[in-house]
Amino acid sequence: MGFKRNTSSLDHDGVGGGWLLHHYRMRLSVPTVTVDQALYTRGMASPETSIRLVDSGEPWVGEFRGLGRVRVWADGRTEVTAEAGDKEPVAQREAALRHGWAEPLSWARRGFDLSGGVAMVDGTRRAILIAGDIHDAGIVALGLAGRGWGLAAHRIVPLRFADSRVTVESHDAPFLTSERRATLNGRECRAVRSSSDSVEVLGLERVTGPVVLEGIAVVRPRRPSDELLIPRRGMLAMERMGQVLFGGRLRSDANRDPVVSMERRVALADLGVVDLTLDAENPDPSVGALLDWWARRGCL
Amino acid sequence: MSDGTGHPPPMTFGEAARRPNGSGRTVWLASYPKSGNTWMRAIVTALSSHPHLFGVNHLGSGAQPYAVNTALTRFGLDPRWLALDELDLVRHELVTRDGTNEPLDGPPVLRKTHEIFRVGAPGAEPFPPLATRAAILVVRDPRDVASSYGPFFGLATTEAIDKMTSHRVQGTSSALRGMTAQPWGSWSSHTRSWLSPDVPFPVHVVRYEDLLTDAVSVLEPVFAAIGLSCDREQLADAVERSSFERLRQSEQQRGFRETSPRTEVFFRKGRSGSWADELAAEQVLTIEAHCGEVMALLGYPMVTKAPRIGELAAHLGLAVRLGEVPTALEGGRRIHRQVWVDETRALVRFGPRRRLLVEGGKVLTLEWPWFEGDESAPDVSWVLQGWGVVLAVLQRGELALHASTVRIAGQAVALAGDRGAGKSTTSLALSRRGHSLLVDDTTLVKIGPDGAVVTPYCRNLHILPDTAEMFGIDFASLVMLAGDRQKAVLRPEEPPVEPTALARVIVLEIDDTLASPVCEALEGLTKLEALRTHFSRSGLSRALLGAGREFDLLTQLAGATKVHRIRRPTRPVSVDAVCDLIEGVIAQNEG
Repeated sequence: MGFKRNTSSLDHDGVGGGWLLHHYRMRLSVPTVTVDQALYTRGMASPETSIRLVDSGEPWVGEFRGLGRVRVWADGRTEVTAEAGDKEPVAQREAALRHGWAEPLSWARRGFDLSGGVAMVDGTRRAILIAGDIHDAGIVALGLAGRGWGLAAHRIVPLRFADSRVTVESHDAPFLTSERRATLNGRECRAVRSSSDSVEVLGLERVTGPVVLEGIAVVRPRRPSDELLIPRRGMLAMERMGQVLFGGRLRSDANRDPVVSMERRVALADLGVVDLTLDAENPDPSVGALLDWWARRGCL
Repeated sequence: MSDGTGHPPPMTFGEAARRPNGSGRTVWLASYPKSGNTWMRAIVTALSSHPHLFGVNHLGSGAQPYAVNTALTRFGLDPRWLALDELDLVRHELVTRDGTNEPLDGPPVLRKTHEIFRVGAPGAEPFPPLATRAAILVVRDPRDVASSYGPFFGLATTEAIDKMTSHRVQGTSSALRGMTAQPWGSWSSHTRSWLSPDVPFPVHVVRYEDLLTDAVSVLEPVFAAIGLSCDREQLADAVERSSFERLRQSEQQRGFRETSPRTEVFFRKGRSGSWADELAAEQVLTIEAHCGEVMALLGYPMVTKAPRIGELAAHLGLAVRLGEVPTALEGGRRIHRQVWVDETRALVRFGPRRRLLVEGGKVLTLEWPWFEGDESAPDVSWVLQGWGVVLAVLQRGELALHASTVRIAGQAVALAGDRGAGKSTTSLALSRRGHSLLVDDTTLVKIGPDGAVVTPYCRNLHILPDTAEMFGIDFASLVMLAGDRQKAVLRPEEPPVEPTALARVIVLEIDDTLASPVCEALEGLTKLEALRTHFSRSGLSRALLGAGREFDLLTQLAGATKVHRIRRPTRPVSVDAVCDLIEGVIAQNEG
């Protein structure tokens, strides 16, 4: 089973030429599909599918052809098996599967609401979530780290909503950025794959344990007339929070309930939300504006 | 109408659209940047939106295929941890899943893209045929594109034109950003790619200017063809709600999240022909000189009568300009009947007001008279692709072999020989046997610790009528070579750009004492002499490289590659026999 390829010559408009066809038959008016294709589109992917995630059994099993496999249990346990490659150590591939696939699924399976971004913590152990494009959020986070803040979570920020508070569950997944960005911030780094532009930043101060979330900054590129920081309230804050929590495979079961989902958004909006505009080539003004706001809110 | 390649030409509007729909649901909304893609998306979104909920920040179909961060929500997979080739697999998987959701004959899934069309590796195709139904290619006059491109990307117009006329790869893959490469190509190569016969699904070409005139009449048959059901009244309503004025008002009131951070306003003017007020005469000249062929294909009339210069591959690192060239080089010396050089420049004189200046191995300036009356613009690409490239490469101290090169079994095989020996004919014959033509007539060779490598680039072939007849090419449909009354220009397919190891040089010679071709391996001084003959370029190499450097390169090349000589009679015609010999030599060595 699986897609077979054959090469045949097919005349369109009489111009001739040969091109590759997938193994399916086409009628001019009603396309038909083969058994292989029908199975593929019903989620029973053929062996030639590159990525497959089966979440109908226990544990969940993810397979990436050429890279390896992950298994994730309901209690959050994970197991990774990397395929051997000829260009990089198996340990790098294992780390990629663990941090890049198994751990996000593990957090989801444990029932956390997951946000994308970076959670940074000040000296009084209060956290800010920097949301938006993960690379831009990382630039701001590195700016805060340079001013003594600690890193609680990066890329996947697990949140708990309870007792009128939102807490961040910290973890030690590597902080990824570009080599150039790490160098600009005076940080040592190491490559995570032999063929990738992602590097792990070393030596960041890490925070452990749950920390209380006190505010959210949504980062976006600055346009010429933009202000550095714009507080958002009411409907605009709610609109921003609609994009903060992950959906799809990373959505918590609780958050699939529309009422719960709305409650989450309200809870996040209530924390205090700002739009933070960023010039990636000159982030200091944005970081400074964020710290000023944080100070005015009495959180320092 | 042939475009001068002899291969199946780019499909014209009707032909490309008449292919049967593919079996998937994806309809690619393809365009070069600043050509009306957002407007098209607005019309499509307006068709399915309630009037009170429609605005510029609610446009659908904007998820471009290069962005693979959705793997996180689809599979829980973070692309930042992937290798660059794994990103291509993720893209293929995401596009295929979205484009094969049942029912397969359901409404189309429209997806925006600015990328050139390319086939890609099996299982990692950027535009998976299985997931695709069709494409809509939105095109716009490149002069208006240039006017809009600069402000959007924060570039001066001259810079914008330089980017638009250069076939360079933009947007390399980035795991960190969760994106695969997204090459736009030049304005010309972008259009050509979507009209290529290699595209396995229908392509409906829509001109921005025709949308301005009567969008409903233009789009009604296109939407019917892709299975986007609506009646004329609904379409008219959607077009009215997504008029330029409405979109601009919406942007002014609420901003537009898709705009570039380098510009304040996305919806600027929304009309055609504003280039006439915004572009300088030299800028118009440059655009038309580079884009003229495709402009003619799309029905955009040119206002200048510039010669057609085409494009030089960006990876050669050469800037091309049209302008005045001095008649002489003060302090220079004559090294060839047509060529003068000084320390950093080379001047080639072809005739009155026909001159080429090559400076520092980087800049080519061409002065050429414009054509008169109704005469077709002459194709002078041969000046740049031949003389220009050779002189620039020699100025850099590198090697330019007088040879055509094909890739056989993953290795470059250079076919050297005197004029008339059959280099182009043999290389064309080998390409028809499935081997890639890397370059015609001028082979750029770099020699390093790992041996000799060839840098391919697209160079037009110049063929005679009997060669055209041999390959079933309609000679009458080809553009005649400027300055030559016998040969015509045959544009080959774009070669791969990656350097290829040079395994063989095969010297072709005519020997009418023979009844059939014979092949022999060359060694020692015979080998050295054969190579020297075909890289001296009529003494240009020695004059520009210096005798010492030339000898150095020659001996390095002799050490790095094997050389054979194939002697053949003029009659009987023996190109197939020569190709058999060449393939046999390669196969023997592989075995």
